[in-house]
Amino acid sequence: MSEQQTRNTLLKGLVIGFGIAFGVVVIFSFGMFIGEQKARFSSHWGENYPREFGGPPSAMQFGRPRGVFGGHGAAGIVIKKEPTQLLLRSPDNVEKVILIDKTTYFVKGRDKAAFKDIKEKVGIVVIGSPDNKGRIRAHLIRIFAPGDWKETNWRRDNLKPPAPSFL
Amino acid sequence: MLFIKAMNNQFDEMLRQLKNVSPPEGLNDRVIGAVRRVRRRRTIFTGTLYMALALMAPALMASLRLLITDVSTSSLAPLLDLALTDWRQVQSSLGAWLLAVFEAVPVGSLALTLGAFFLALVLIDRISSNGFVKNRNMKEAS
Repeated sequence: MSEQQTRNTLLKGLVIGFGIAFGVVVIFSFGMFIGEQKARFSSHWGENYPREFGGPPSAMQFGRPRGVFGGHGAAGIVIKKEPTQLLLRSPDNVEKVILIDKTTYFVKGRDKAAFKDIKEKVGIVVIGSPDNKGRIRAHLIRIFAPGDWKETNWRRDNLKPPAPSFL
Repeated sequence: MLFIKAMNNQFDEMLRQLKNVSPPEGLNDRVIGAVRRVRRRRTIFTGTLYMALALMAPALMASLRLLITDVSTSSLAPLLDLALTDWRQVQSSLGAWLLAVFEAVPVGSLALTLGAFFLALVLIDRISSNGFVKNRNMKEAS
């Protein structure tokens, strides 16, 4: 192998090596970014939970769901409707507060809907952005007809499933 | 041509002068023993690979089951479904939708399942490229 060929092989190896290293760093950074978003939302959610749902103060973390969860979207059953917000229970048994404002877009079937179309115990899917109180400011809400979308099963770590009336 | 013929004759003469030598004592046994040892080693190696693959099957099933459970208890499916039904509205908050999807992906069980699939494929590849299995397949084919 000539000196030129050796140099080309070395250069090719370096390019591939740096490419792989770059890819690994990008994927790792993206994972860290997503993890940070989830951790921040979960932390705020935990602090705000007693204010919205009652229960022990946030320092006592009894019954808190395992792991972290995101605040850019949610899907689940509406358990309570209030004038400016919805309380939602997602399939992983986490109750989330969905804030509604003038910019929130509602869809039901193929038609545009309104806040009044949301009833308790219906399924909805939400896209939004988290605020610093562990709530989701909704951008888009799709409303399902009752029975169209329901929670298929419960989390493994949930020993006692909620009352059947929520289903 | 003549030169080559002369060389051949000379070589034949030298061969004729050689003594008829018999193989050393026990050579046949040693060769057969070595072949048996190699064969035994290959059998043990292939058996271990088959056993590892057999053990991988329940691990694969368990990880797949875990992934399915995690996906069904996350918001991933409805969020992906939302892109199909309301793409126009999703486009207006595409960043939030993408983040929501990535947040909903059950990374742990997904990594476990992909790892199990990868290991199973590596084992299958090792078994199929193993000389012992190859020879047996060729024998069966002939």
